[in-house]
Amino acid sequence: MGKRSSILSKSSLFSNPINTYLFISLIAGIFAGWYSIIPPAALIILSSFLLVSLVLSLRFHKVELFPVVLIIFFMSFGALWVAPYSLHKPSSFLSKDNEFIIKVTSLPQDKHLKHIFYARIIRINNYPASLNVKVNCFHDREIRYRDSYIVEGKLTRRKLRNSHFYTLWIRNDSFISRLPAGFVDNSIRGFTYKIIAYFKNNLPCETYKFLSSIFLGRRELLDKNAKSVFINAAAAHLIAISGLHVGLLSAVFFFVLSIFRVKFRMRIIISIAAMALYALCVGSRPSIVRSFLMFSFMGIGFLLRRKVSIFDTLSVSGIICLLWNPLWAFDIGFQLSFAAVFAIVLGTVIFPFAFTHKYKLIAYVKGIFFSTLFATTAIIPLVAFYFGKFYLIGILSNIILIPVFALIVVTTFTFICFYFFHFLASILAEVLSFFVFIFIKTATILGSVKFSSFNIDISLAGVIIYYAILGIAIVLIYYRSKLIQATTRF
Amino acid sequence: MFTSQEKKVIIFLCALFAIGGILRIVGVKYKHTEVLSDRKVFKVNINEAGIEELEKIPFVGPKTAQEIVNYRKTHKSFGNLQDLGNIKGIGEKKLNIIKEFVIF
Repeated sequence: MGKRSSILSKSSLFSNPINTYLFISLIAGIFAGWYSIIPPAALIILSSFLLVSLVLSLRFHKVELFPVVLIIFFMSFGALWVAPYSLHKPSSFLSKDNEFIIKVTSLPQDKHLKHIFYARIIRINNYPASLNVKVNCFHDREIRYRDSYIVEGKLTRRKLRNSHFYTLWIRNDSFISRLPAGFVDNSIRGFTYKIIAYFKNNLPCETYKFLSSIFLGRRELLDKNAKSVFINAAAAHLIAISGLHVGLLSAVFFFVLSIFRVKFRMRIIISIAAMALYALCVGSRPSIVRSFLMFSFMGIGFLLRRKVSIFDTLSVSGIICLLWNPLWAFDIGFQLSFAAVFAIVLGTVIFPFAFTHKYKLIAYVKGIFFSTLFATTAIIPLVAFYFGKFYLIGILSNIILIPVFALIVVTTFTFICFYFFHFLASILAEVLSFFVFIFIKTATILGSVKFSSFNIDISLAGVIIYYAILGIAIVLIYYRSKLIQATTRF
Repeated sequence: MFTSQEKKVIIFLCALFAIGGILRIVGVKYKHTEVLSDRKVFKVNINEAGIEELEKIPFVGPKTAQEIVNYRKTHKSFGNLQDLGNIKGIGEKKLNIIKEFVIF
């Protein structure tokens, strides 16, 4: 009973490292299943056997092997969970006419590029799929954000470095049937359009596009030049909505609710609900779902008066993300997001001095410096593998740009709050334009610095070796610090 | 009268409106607009661009780009838009869209 309770601890929320192992084994299983290392029939038998073993071990209190069996079960479960997608991979549908069900994930543009938008393919010839594609559509039929359509066309694929980019070419004579959207999608579309229209009517063109991108995730409004400004300044993570946005907005919400004397527990509940709505509005990408789930678990931990382990919230968030969509394991955003946050969390455990100082300003600078250092260390091989680049300017960019970015987010939130006060909103619009100008100018200067980035090539084997060496180094540093602590006590 | 949190909010809002008011009175215009301004239409030289460059034109995929390159090999160059219309895969509708992105 004692061992059983240590696995399912009741003294704190998620305080067992097994969650991390389960997350990693689930990912491994998904990869194994996608590349068909084990046949599906064998997986079903193996999973059933392991599930029975788990139940029996609990029943007869034989819990010594429970964690190991659970890890292997998760691995086989991951392989089984991805099977519906892996049995009919997108590559088997290339360059021939097929029927697709797509859900529009970006706003179709006006003027010259109204025929191009982005969507997620949900089904191909009635087989389940989850594929983000660029869509080329000649039809004059109105395409609406978040609507689903049945179309006919061809899927093509282009390889760039180690990533594949898919394009769906809708046939000229294809029927386009709109599937009725649910209440949630209709509401989100209406809400998003209202906010974008509010931005468009009150802000200069460049400010409205920038804010729509960083605040609402409408990256399609930024053209390549604009995106390259942020990429070169190693600030691309600021236009990808993630933990920073959730952290800032939830802090603002919490603060505003405290002004209105809302009780602490109610503030947590309202903040969680607000962040859920925000995550839905901005497109439910892996990074925002991860940060929302982590925030929710922390909030629930406070409500239940339980200690919360950040490691475990990260791992359980990852497990939930992969149960929702196992193909997110292959998503670049998912990999970068989890690798970076995992590294930051690990860094705070191994190097607790990195985030503390008696002076707040120095503690703040130290915090950003070390967070960026840890995150960069973790994502270097992934960025090199997918984009062929290494950015040296990242730490300096974050120290300078994150405060300005935080100011922009808070001011944007204030600007939205003054929706019904046109004159005051127009004043705030001037301020926002100024802050955005400062941000873009600074990012442009940082990106143009010599040696801010350089090209680097790495193979998949190189990525694996890098993480293996990094893992060994972390373990050695951790145990060495424990040893020093232990000898210091004596 | 006000709590410390309320004072912080009031100071922040006052600062924002003060900055906004000053900017409005001064009437500052920002010169960064070329980075994020209305999407400038890029132009591709149809007679000189390689396949990768041609694929940047909306609705020109790998096959159409290859057809363009093959046409250039047999006919030397494109003289005008009508020549482009001879490419397999480029009909009238596509030509109307592509014309804004090409130069000869």
